[in-house]
Amino acid sequence: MSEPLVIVGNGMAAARLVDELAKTSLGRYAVAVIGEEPRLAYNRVLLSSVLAGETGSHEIELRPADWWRHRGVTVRYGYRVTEIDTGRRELKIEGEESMEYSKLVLATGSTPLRLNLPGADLAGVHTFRDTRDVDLLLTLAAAKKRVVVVGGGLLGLEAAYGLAKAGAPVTLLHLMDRLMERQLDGPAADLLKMLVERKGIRILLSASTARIHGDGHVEAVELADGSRIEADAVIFAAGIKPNVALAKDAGIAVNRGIVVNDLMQTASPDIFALGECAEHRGTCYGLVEPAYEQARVLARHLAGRPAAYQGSVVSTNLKVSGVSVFSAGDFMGGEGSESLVLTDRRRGTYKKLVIADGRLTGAVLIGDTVDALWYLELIRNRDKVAAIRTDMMFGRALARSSRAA
Amino acid sequence: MSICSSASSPAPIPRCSPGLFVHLADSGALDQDYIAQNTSGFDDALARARSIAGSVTATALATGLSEQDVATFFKMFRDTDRVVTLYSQGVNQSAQGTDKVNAILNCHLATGRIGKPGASPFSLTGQPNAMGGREVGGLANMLAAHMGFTPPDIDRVRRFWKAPRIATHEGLKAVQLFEAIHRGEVKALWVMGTNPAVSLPDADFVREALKKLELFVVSENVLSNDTVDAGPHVLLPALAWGEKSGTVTNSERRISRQRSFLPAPGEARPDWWILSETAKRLGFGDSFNYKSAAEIFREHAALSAFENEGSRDFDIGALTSLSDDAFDALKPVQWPVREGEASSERFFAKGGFFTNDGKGRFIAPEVPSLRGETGASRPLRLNTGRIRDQWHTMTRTGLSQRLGAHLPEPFVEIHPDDAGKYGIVHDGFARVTTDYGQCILKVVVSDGTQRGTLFAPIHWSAMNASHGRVGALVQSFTDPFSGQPESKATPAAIAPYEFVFRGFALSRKQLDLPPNLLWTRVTVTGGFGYLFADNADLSRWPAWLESVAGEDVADYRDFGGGVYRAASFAGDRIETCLFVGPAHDAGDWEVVKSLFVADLVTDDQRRMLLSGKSGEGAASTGPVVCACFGVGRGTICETIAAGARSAAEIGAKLKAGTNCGSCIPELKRLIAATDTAPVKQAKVAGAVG
Repeated sequence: MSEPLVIVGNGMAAARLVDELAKTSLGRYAVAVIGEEPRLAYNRVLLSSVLAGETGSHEIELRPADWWRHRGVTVRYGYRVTEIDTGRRELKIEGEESMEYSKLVLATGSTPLRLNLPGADLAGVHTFRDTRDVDLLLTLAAAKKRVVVVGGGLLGLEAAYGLAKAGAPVTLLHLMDRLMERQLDGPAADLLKMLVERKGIRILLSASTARIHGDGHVEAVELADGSRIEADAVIFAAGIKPNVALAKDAGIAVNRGIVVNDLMQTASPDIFALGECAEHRGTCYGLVEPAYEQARVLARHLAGRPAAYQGSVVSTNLKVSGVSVFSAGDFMGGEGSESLVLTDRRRGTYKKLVIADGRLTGAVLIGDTVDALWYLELIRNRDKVAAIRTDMMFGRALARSSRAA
Repeated sequence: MSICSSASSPAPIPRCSPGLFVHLADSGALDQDYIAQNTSGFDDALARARSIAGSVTATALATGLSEQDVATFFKMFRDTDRVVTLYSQGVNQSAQGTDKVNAILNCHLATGRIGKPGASPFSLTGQPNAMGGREVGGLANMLAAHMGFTPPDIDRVRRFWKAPRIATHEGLKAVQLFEAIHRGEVKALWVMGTNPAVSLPDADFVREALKKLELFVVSENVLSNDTVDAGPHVLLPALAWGEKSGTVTNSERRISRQRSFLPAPGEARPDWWILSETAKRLGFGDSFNYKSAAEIFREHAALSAFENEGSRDFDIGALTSLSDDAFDALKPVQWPVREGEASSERFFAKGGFFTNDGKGRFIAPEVPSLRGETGASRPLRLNTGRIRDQWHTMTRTGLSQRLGAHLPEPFVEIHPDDAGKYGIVHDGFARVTTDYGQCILKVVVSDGTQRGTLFAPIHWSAMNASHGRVGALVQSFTDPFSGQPESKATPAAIAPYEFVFRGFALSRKQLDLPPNLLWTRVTVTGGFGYLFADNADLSRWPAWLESVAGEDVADYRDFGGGVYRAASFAGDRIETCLFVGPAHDAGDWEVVKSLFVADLVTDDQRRMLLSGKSGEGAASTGPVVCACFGVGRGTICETIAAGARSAAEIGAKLKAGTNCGSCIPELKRLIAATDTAPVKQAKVAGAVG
């Protein structure tokens, strides 16, 4: 008799967990996935590509319906779980019968932050999180609406790029003095800005949004310095917050996210959490790679094998607004470290490798990310790099041949 | 048959020759009839030879050769009737050059091996048309047409030219001339087609002297060299080799017509035209009203035959009445060509020397001694000479990227034992100091150089190297007869010189590099290359690059690792490229040079450019050894490692050495180096001058 295992959320973390479970413990669990979004799990990272018209909406589906069926997984999308009854080991589902579980996995993801500003509740203020948002933004772009994107992080840049590509005049506002400050150093951010601006996006740095003007509907954005930007729509892309309400209401310990140990286990032993909603050793990751690592660990644990999640070396390896961007580890490089920097603005390339104690400890790459995964491997393995120091910047192939010589 | 005293040895004296002379006398190998009938001075010369080196043992001691080698050489000379002794600047260019040559000539006179097919002494002179220069009196101790400053000669030339104020005594030879200028005794100088500020001994002294002249005129075909840069009052545009029309004479006295094959560029004119025009301005128009080179040649021929009647060797009287067309069509002809006689006369086989009594003179050389003294502060002898790739001061050959690819930098060669003694490292730098000046040179450690000596090539000047003016190191002692300087034995000291950084730059145009830098400029395909070494902070380079580069720049910085590399582009082409690195890892410019050549650098090539390696990570083939086929040392060493054991086998595989063949000695050294020790870095430098 299979144990009922229920996963709340049908995003990328959930899909990967099912995949891993299918490999490690096929048949041991009767798996059900319940998610709010009205479609099968898709690659959220590619939403901006869909917005940009570079990828079709259906092409981003992670697995076809058959795949889930063949693995005996019950997928119920478009349903909202309203309560976890930990005592009865039961989930209450809006408009449906309750569902029992033996093991419960929370993969509820996160929600874009809406800034608490005057006018933030006006019509025409949106966020960018799921396919429904994409459809809405596409409508805006098609009508050539003037859009202000608030937030110069990954999400904001993606939204801005997609909108601009789809035809909307876009202004991007960023509170900090450089784009993607959590992933990029100054020169990298500077180059990225230049490359994004080339795509027709207007970028304002150190721009603090004060209020949104409009009579029922967005008309303009006012900055703290008093300047005013006419707009038909505003997209908030200034951060996310983990979706913890369900856990919190059930009395499961939460902090910023749902607190888990190295087994991805919450304070309630049969309840687990992973992905953007989970907080491990004080960190909530907003990226897909840690979610996948967590899924692997959790699947092993659920299969009864030893496993432990040690946290992830955070890396970013994406196309941001059509520009390849990678960053990992201590990419800023501080006291006691040395930086190797390659700059070629015409090629749109900036590469910085940070070395400390003879090891690669961080990297940031713009434009040329061919060797990103190799650098990540070097950072993670803590390999000594003295022998390849001169060639490392120019790629694995070159460094290998020189080491062999 | 043999070269006993070569250029790469500063052998100060005719060290072999006296011993050989004695040996020939003692072993009955003399041609007594020839000596008796055609020579004088034999006894004195032999006695002097005995006192210098009376035996094989004494010769071995004096030369540093093994007794066995000396004995073998003597025997071979003795038993071979047809012997040609070839000698070059190692013999001539010395303060004892005349004695050395005389000592060689003595051996040939004593065996009658002179002027016969396959038997003769033969000086390999390095100058272009050196013989032709002598024929027209282009030396300080000669009048025209091979005549000297004896009263009858002076009188004859005076009458022929109707020149009452003709020079009546020898002029100053080069080294003395500049001393006289320095003393203020010579106030006007006209330099034609030579670069004394580089090539003369104590070259810095020469450069100073030039600045003291009241009238300094230079005829040149380059806009800039060390002599031109010394500031002539008049710079006259002269023709270069391929633009000139006239005759040249080779070492067997054969006069050949040289026809121009390039038009005169700009306002450049023949030297004879410039001289004639100057003479006209000075009021001698009637005497210098020449219309062509042919006209001058006819006058030259007439002077050679004037009151000659067989008394003087140089006689080309048969060519006095050549028409312009006949001059133009002149076939190579060996002098003398006396009026009414056939050419191709051999000199001296049956005597007939051009002396009063018709006899050849044995001359007893001085007991040999070098002029400069070595001592504790100057323990070594600096030998200077040529490398196969360059000609003189590089004003022409320095323009060739192929020639520059082989040995691009000025260097000093030192024997491994001396290198160890003075802490000198192969491929490092060293400061060479003499009483006259100092240079900082790249080091080549090689057992091709004798212990106790240093060898440095003469070619580099202030034009193309910051610290490589080797002429400035050379002492100015000269031979009392020939005036030749003691260029191959200046007392010198050597000490290691450290640089923190090394690097190179490539550029479409000439660069003004930052100050206090050791640099050498090399012609490369598509522009100029600079090899440099530096002790200043690395941070000065980005600012410098910014000052020479445009907008489109790529750079790579690893200041912690001592590395800065950058390239600037114009479109898809590299404009300037700079690589600076730590001394132990200076980077190899061969790959970068190959990209610099291209009009279109692909995106992928640009991506890898600053790695200094090709996209495949392949190492470069190293400096070019075979200039004809562009074969690098790395490729050659690989072929040797794969089993090639002779220059011919290498040639069969790589073509290297199969055209001009000048790299064959280096190929052999590379093979030898591989045989004895299979190390990657072969210590070779191809010094041949």
